[in-house]
Amino acid sequence: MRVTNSMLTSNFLNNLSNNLNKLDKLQYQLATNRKFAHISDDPISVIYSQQARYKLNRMNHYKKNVETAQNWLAQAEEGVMDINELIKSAYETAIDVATDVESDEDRRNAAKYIGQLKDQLLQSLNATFGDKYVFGGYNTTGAGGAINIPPFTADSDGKLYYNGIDLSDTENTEVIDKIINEVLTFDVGIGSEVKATLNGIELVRYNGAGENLYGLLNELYVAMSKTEETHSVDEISTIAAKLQTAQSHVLALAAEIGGRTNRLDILSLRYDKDEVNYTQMKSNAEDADQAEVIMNYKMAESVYKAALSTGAYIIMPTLMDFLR
Amino acid sequence: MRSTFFGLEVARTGLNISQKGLDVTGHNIANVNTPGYTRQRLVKTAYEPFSGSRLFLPVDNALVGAGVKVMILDQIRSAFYDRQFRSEQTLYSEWSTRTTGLTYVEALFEDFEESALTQGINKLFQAFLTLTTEANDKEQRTVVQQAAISLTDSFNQIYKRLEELKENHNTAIEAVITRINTITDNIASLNKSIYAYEMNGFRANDLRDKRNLLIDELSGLVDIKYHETEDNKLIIELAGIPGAELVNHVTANNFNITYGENGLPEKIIVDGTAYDYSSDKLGGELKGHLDLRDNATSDTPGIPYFMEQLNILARAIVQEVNKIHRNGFTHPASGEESRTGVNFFHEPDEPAEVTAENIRLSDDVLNSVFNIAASSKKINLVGDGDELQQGNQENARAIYELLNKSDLKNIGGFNSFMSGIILDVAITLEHSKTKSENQKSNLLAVDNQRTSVSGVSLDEEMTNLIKYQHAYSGASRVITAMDEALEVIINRMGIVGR
Repeated sequence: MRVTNSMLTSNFLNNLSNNLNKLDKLQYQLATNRKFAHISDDPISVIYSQQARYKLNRMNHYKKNVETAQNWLAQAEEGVMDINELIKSAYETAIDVATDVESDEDRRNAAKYIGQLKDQLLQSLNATFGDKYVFGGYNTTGAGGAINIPPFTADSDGKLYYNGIDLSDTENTEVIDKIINEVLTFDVGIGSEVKATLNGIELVRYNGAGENLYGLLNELYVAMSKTEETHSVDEISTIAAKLQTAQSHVLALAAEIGGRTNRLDILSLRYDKDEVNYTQMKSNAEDADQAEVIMNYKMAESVYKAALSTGAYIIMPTLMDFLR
Repeated sequence: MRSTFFGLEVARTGLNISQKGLDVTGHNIANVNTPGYTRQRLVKTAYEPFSGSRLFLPVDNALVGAGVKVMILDQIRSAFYDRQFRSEQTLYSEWSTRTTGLTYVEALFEDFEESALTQGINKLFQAFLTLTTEANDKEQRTVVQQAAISLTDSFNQIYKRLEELKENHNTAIEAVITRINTITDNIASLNKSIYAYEMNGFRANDLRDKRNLLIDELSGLVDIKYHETEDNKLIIELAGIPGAELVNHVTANNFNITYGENGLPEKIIVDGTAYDYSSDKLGGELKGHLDLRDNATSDTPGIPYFMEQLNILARAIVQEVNKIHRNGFTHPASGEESRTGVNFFHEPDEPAEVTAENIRLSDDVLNSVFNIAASSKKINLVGDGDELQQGNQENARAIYELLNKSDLKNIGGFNSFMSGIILDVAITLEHSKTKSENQKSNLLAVDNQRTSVSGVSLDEEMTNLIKYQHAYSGASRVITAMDEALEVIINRMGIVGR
């Protein structure tokens, strides 16, 4: 085939340009550690990269929620244990007083103590986590703010109100049953949710409708405040027995919280492992293998140099250099 | 009988031809780098012997030819390779135009880490998820609002930039059509000159070279078919529309595209005759621009296709989020009583009116972040029973759940649809790049073949130079010899004994 000068030059330029393209690509990979500069260079890797990123992102969303849920549950557990201690003290006092040996004086002191326990219970039920009520159901906010309505209030008759609803009134059972399920729930995984706290009503209602812990403590207070003549040891014993029921109820709830916390701990560990996996996936899809790239680069560089030097050899001389 | 000065005449033709040969070689060498130049060569032939009268037969029966004459000054060019080159050129122009255009579209959909849209969608839903832990918090609500504004901004921006790209192609199309008409005018006037010149039997080599260059350029712009009739007249037509002549000898016909009411091209007009429009009929760079500007289907997708994908996504986001948002209740801190039926995104009466260009937050949510309906029940700031619902975040949770859904109408899942768009762009561009590079190789190979036949090789011309130089010296020597012989006859014959 006849070869002309213009063919030589155009082929030479074309090959140079191809070599430079390769070098450019490799140089980009070296400098940024990414396999592809544009999504059109490698659409398959783009698919994997996108999936890995999406999974990582979503997992991070949930991870934060797990942490928040763990914080809430820790607060709830503290509150529940406080109430547990409270019931224990009440029970011990009741047992002490449920004998005929005690004097009027002692009983009145005991009654005062129970009165304080009542206030403590109210305080525990209205415990706050920052500016939110832990056991308030959906009445979480407002603590310390302009409009501050604690979820639990009590009146002098010893009735406990939640958001103004008398918990001891059986007519309110329907409303209460609705409200008792209003607990802050967080999503901690796909299709996975956790109740981050308890509704205070559930804490104090130890046996179903009507009876609650506050009312019980009030009964105890009233029973202990009775005078020598009217007081009855049996009455106090009955109340003490009920206190035990309340305590096991509370302990059961504490166990449940413990179970939830456990579940979250395991979930958190799994998310940590997932993070490593997804990051690995992402890296496989996106990152360039530095060793391989450097090798390719060196090869391409030597090819480029060879092309330049041979090109120079071929293009320059013509017959003119050899004629006289 | 041989005439006296016959030999001289013969040698003189030799001299002439050698001189002419040197001229041609010089012309070739001077034009070694001229684009489109075809090497020329002298086509020589020997003069036949003069047959003369039978009465004057030469002494022996040998009839000697009368020297050398030029048949024609021809150019060496392969019409076959020319045709091949031009058809490859048309394809290459089409794909390289498409690749360049799509590269700009790609730049809009990719960012260093993640495309702005993918990030925007993720951030919005993440904000909703965090809202579920702080439903009452003004800061967290503001984060949701800002994330949504950022997302709608991204949609608006990308859509606008795509519109601008479309407009660029529009301008390019106008320019290409003008250029086509200019070229056909030039070709027509060149045809006139070439025809006139060649009527005398000469070859208009340089004019033909100019014309070939123009035809090369034209074939890149649009798909053409051409042939030269027996009487040397060149006819160029649109390859996709038989009978639509762009150039007929010395007449150049105007070429244009007209548009219908919907803004899409309707007819192709050549010399006043209207043909039905199809970009396949046109080919070349023109088709590349037209497809990118007009195509809305996934078959050879153009910019309108990607714009519509964005619109579908925007519509789906607005409809799905609003549907759930309307079920929830706003927070009274917004200044108004807690109410339901509030939209998160602005939704016009006709849901199909939402586009990536006009997607925005609803006025309610723009005015106050407390109009974000996170709660599933009415919120009262004071009240009893289940009226104090400030912590209720069930609706916010339901909105976040949308991210996990994969059975949404029209799009499946948000993230998967977004990924789908990005992949669409990537794969379309990759396909175009591959085709473009393959075409380039083809084009180069054909060009090499073409230049191999018609290009100037300096070595060859040098050899020709030597050839003609020697021929010239040889011819001059013949003249000298003839001269000496004649001199003997004229000056020294018959002086013997004087």
